[in-house]
Amino acid sequence: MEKKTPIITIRNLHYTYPDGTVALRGVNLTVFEGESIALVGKNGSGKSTLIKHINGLYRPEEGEIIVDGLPVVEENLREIRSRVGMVFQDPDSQLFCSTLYDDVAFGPINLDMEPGLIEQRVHEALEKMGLLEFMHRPPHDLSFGQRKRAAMATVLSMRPKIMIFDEPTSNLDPKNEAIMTGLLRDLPTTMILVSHDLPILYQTCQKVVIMREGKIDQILSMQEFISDVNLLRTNGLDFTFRCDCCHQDPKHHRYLTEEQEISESFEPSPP
Amino acid sequence: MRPDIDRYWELKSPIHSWDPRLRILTLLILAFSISSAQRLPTILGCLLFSFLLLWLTKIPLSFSLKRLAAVTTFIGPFFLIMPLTIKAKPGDTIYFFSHLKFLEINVRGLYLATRVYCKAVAIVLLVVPMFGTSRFDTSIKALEHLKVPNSIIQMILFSYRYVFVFLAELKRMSLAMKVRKFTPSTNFHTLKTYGNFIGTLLVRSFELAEEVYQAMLARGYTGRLKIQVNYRTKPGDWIKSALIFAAVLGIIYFDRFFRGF
Ligand SMILES: Nc1ncnc2c1ncn2[C@@H]1O[C@H](COP(=O)(O)OP(=O)(O)O)[C@@H](O)[C@H]1O
Ligand SMILES: [Mg+2]
Repeated sequence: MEKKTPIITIRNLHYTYPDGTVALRGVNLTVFEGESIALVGKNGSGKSTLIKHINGLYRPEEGEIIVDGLPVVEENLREIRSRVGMVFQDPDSQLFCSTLYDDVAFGPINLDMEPGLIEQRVHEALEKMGLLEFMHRPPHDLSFGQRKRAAMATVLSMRPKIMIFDEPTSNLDPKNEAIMTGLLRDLPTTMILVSHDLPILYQTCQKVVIMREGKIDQILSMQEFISDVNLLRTNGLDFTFRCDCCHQDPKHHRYLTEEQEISESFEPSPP
Repeated sequence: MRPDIDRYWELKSPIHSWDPRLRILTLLILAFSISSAQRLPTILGCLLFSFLLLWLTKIPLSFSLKRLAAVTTFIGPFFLIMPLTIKAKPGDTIYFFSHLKFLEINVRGLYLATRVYCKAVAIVLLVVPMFGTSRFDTSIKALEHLKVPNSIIQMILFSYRYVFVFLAELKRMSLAMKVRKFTPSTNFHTLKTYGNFIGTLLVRSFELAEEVYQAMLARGYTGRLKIQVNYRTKPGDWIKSALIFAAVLGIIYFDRFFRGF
């Protein structure tokens, strides 16, 4: 058995929103280096609140978090945010500059990288996301699927060791969903993926963490998880519709698996 | 549609080439002098001057005129309210209808509303030469060089950002209403729907703006824009500022001391 290094350790985490909503009630979780974790649970179970603690956007009311050996406290925030990348659900929260280049450079600039290195990182991230040709365009001119990838590029350019995604495939059309799934699968980093989309989780994650009412309810392997239909239902996983449509028309299978098809679908969509 | 104030930053014009620091400072002083003007002839002169500066930027007039829609929405009602409500002074011309005694129309109110409106237009038009002639982040950085407190810079930055979030949300929500076949009419249901619409819009935009801020923090933002801009002041920049200062003095003199007509 290979030796595993913990990269995120969360102990007894409690959090209450200023309005009194208790969101986390004692979360304990260890994530190991290189793992891809599916974080699932009903709406309001505390997934978003939990992931926002990992890079210090929220500060624990009780308990502690250690990321890559550093406790998440004020003095370490800068370093932690360079190691933990977070892609928000709404790409427009992440894109606010006048050009795509500026948006992707925003993180590296904040980390005080050298100008030459910044340029290199921006190119690299945009290339990986298939958006190089849009570099000097305003991000709001891109299609929704492209903006989702652009938001991912703004984080990739910082080369974080850990990437966290909140609903990376929500509202995407099948083509863009397939592209996104391919990209997620190829990420070499430790990854936490919050999603209700079972096929995507199945293709990208090995381990499933289920949250319920502000606590970790169960941790299981992907195999165990998908074989339990009740578990899928109670956690609001979105799967029946997809399976039905696959049976009806196998030619229009929603998930492209061939690398070729994925790279083809990188073609810019017509305006 | 995105009303980016800096959409035309790449044009070439005497205003574009002006050092952003001097440009913003000088035009701000001009704006203050316009707001201090009292007499209608001075204010009309200022209005012309604003148009002149606008013309110098080479930015399409339609772009600037769109900005006036908001001013008109806010100040337009003054034209109705002020003639009806201002206190009558000796020498005022007042119209009233014989059978509606309470409805007095004071002409001085109309005159006041015109003054307020023209002043507002003259100042709002200045925003385009002030912030539309360089990239927005360059302008913001210039404010930092001008020693504007960081809290105020942050406020400007986020208000600007909030406008976009707000407009995007507005568009999304009105589309949602349209696809659900909402047709406005004059009844209670329409009023209630509009009420809900505005409430939801404000709350949603607030939440989204909060998330934009979190997304910035998540990428190492610490409350200061880190872009590097090397500003250079050329002799021509001082001349441009001197010309505007001359106009400022002209406005003050004409408004306070000139009694020619
Ligand atoms: N900004 C907020 N203020 C107050 N309560 C919140 C806020 N965000 C989320 N909550 C509440 O905290 C709980 C957990 O929410 P969240 O972490 O967003 O769950 P999930 O992402 O799993 O849907 C919910 O009860 C939710 O209503
Ligand atoms: Mg959530």
